[in-house]
Amino acid sequence: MAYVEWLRVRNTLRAYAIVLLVLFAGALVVRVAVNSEMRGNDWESQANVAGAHIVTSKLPDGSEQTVIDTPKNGGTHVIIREDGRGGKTVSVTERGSARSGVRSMHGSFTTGNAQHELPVDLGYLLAFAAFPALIFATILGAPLSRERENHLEVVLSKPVSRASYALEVVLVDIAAIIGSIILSTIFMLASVVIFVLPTFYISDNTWWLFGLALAAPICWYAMYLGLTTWMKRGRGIVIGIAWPVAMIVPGLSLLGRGSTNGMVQVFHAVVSGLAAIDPLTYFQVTGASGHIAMQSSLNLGGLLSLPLPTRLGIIVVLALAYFAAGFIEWQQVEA
Amino acid sequence: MSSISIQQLTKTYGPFAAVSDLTLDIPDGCVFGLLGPNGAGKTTTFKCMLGMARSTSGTTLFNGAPLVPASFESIAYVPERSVLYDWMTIAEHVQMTRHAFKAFDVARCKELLALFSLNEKQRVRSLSKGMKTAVAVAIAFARRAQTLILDEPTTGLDPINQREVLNLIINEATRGTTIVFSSHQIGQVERAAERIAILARGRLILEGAVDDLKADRKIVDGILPADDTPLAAFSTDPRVARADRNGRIVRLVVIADADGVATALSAAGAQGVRILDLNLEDIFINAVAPASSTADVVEV
Repeated sequence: MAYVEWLRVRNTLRAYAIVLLVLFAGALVVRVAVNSEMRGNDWESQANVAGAHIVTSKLPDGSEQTVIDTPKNGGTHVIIREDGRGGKTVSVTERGSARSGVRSMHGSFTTGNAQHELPVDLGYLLAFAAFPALIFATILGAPLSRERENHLEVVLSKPVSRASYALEVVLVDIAAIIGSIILSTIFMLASVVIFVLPTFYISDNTWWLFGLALAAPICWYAMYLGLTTWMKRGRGIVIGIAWPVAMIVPGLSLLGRGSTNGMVQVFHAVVSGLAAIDPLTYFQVTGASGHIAMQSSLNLGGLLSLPLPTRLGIIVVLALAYFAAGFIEWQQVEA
Repeated sequence: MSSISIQQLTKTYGPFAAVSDLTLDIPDGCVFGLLGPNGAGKTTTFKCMLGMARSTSGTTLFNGAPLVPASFESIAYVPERSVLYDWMTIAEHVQMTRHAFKAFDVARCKELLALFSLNEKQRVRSLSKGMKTAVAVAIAFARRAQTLILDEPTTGLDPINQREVLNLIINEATRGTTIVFSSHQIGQVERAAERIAILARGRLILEGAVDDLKADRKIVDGILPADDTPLAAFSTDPRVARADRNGRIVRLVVIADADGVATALSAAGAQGVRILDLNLEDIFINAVAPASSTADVVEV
């Protein structure tokens, strides 16, 4: 019954895949352009120099250390430490002539990020892939309002109940949103791999992040469904306004806390109320200590500091509420 | 048994009654024409019948049972305006219908699209209003439905395709399909419909078999001897449905005993009294149009 939605989804996914391919092609061009600056594994190749002396050992913290001395190559001394989770630090001491491209000569230096492979929680990769999925959910959003505008007679003369039809449409769109997350993940992975080989690990947060990555775009989609199904026209305004409002509201909710000014209290109450029903409030990504993190390193307080499981639970509840609102509206529409 | 039975259907929007207390029985296999001026409530009636708009009161039964979603397997509907998806091709609309309805006959649909000279690869946004109507009609007739509800199915079509649609209606009727359609082309309704109903301002004005309505109703006209010759006697005459007067010329719509009324009019001094047959357009206009003279007008 939801054939039209399948077509719409197919076309949108196709366009989305093309955009990702174009972006990946751009990333490839950049990679080729910076190739000479990214010879990060050169130091490890010292092990292949004739006469190199290699010592490998296990350190007390569990990391593995490899020391390479190459007396025939200017007396270079390389220490490579791998922490077992993909983290790698390379320290180099040169006593001979400088190598091409190395700025520090005749001294000791640590290569730092150039050879520090990125250990990433698998959940974060999926969570970041969910951001483009939010845009995708926006494009698919308001499917029932679209039907209301000019196609209700087609939809309501099918041998299926209104609720079943709406459910089919929503399931098709959810499948597409998940498809877009998969496409985004593949794109992000491919784009990262051409620059640096990341190592993924699974932590206590991984599955919560995974859930959040799936639930947030679906909740965003549900929000549009709930906000627009009653609208015959003008859903574009809602879709357009929702993004800036949803992004600003969580931040605004931090203002005026504890104020004694009546106006400020009213403002704070209104904005906090909006923040509480805003899916983006529970889907904040911030940087913490150089690592990708879903939880803010700042002490923001309130909704923004909730732990991941709580956020996921709230997002699921919000999504169900928005879906219910959309479905109830759909039952009432008239051609 | 009636294929469609509408009982005391009322639909209001705030204080405005789009349809008031409408009761109609449409027999199985009948071609039924619904006539009325713009805003008479024809489209609202269709939407209420099909559950697309909620009736304020009243019921509609299809084959004796209330409408349920599964009923649409056997009911096809063509709305008065295009509800096709502009971004889809005609072929995609055909596929959409094939996925939704078990009895949909794809081969028949392709035949009908060819009949209207439509290219399946065309996107709907590139079609004219008439072509969109033709697509909707082709898809509806390929549904092989037992009941067809067509709301102005010839809108925007050229005369050739209007005739094709009319032929489709007549051919479908020979298969025993119940067809309810509205149109402003009264000639088409007269040609295709066995029964009609006329709505005005949401109310049923007239209903019956076309042949009976035409047989029962006559025009009696004549020329009175003077502008002020009285016509009061006709205002209470139950045989006269309506009287229009323009100066000395008088025109009476008679619903019984046309010969007797003609005799009475002659007795009143009228010259050149004639008895004329009515066509459906006359019946329609006499039913819904305001009287043409303010003097001595009798409306019954």
